[in-house]
Amino acid sequence: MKAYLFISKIRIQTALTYRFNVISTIAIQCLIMYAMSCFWIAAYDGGGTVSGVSQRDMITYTTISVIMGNLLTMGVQDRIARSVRSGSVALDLLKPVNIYGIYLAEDLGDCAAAFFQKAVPLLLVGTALFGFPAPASAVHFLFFLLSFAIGYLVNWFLAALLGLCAFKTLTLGPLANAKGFIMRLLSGSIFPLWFFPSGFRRVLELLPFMNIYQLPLGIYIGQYTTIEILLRTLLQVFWCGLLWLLFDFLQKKMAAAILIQGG
Amino acid sequence: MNVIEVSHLVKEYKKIRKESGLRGAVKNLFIQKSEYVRAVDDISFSIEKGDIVGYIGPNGAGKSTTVKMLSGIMQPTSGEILISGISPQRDRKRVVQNLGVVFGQRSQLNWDLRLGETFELLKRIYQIEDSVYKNNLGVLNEIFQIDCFIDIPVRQLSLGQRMRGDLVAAMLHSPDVLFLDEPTIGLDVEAKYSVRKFIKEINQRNKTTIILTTHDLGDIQELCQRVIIINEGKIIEDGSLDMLIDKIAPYRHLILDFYHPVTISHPRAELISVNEARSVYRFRKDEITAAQLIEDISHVTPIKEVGLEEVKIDDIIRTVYQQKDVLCDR
Repeated sequence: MKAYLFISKIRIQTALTYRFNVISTIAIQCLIMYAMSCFWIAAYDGGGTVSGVSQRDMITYTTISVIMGNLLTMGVQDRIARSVRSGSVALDLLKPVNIYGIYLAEDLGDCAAAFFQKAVPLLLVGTALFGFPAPASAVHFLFFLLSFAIGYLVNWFLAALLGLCAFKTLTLGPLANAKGFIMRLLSGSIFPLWFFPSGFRRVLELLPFMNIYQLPLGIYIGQYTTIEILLRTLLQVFWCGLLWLLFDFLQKKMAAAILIQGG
Repeated sequence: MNVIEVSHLVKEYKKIRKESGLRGAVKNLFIQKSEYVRAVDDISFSIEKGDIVGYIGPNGAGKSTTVKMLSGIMQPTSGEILISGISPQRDRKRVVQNLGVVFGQRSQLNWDLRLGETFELLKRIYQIEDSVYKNNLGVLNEIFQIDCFIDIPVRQLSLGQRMRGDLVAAMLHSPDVLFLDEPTIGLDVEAKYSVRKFIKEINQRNKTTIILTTHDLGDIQELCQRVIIINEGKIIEDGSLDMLIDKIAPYRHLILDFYHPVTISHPRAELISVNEARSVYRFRKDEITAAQLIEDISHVTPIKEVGLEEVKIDDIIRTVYQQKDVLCDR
């Protein structure tokens, strides 16, 4: 356990040394946040609610969504692909640790670093531009945190599952692009699912993607009743567990078939 | 006691045969012909505690594949491996806990960190006690003198320093078994010399069992009591270096300079070249001694200078490597 914590610590430490990366990310993310918020302001055109969501809620949704996007950057997918391609996966496997535990520790370290380096500055900029994006209530905020944490794991397992493909294909290439696109569109990170036609929406609600953005954000702005929150969180936990099992099964299969590149 | 037991180890790869050229590339997209290649073909050996064994063979002979299976990274197609009685395939974590591995061409040190931080990380990964860690680091520092660059980021180290760092990293948890895959590759003469000295010292201090794969026969000559030669996935020689020399090249060369050009033959030595006043004789060690030969010839004519040449280890290994071609033809 100590080893995993130490790895997270190292990642935070390393992230702090890349200043250019942080500054440019913040600048670009601010721009995206600003453009998206302006889009919703124009779409609402000053009044009313759509599907029970007001313009104010939508701006909060967007601001928090952009911040979440910076916390949910998953390295595991490329990490696996890169290690397999370069053959350094051999070195990871030579340690008496769970290599996926290490990859998760690295991502969590990055997430912690991103919280201070990106999330906080973005929250300040967002507040300055459009006012503080307040949650519906303190209880909603706590549920949001829980939901975000489970969503994080759902997202991580999805990324790790894709990463496992690299053991067979060596590169991810178009798969990674496709996943990125599907995630953006279907997870509710840009457009909340309630803007989709109801049939399509019902299908999306059964898929794991909405558990990553839509559910925590919906809870944050108070879209769901308490019963709904509990039921959906249960479903989210179910998805998380299912993906975990699937990942564990495939990871064992891949370990047996491992080929190491370059002598 | 045998630390490493390998019996009937086989590794088969499925290799996709690609056709060349643009036409081939298009064809490959639709039809892939695959064939099975045996990288390691029915290998058995056992190694005793405290031995340094040279595991050598030409490129692509199956050396690295064997090392990867021994360390549990790769699953063998069939056969069994036991390291201190544990199968690395069944219990990877327990085996690697007691294993140190250095790949000369690949560093396990983290590029972004200072050397000391990597050691700190390893301390946690192997769950080394504080006192043991301090003690080990002290001893290793005595051998490798890493103190002077322990606070430098790894990316700024020279290759020789990096290799020393890698060796320390592999030794921190005082493993019983050490796999060194070309530990002197790319090093200059001085660094090579010190790495060899370190390996010897580690072996003597801790009774560490070492398997060394290398193309540098100097490493073998300096370090290994025993060599296993592998080619095309099969063990073709296994024994001490002296035994190998006696078997492959039991002869030596005697170079004699006379005062004037002469040609003198000897019944138990072969005269292989005469150049002006210099003659070179080849003789078998078990048939005649060099002293006897010199004495016999000096009765015929006075000798000015004497030189004795052992067969070069490179030539011996080359002869062994080439034997496989004979095997193939059969």
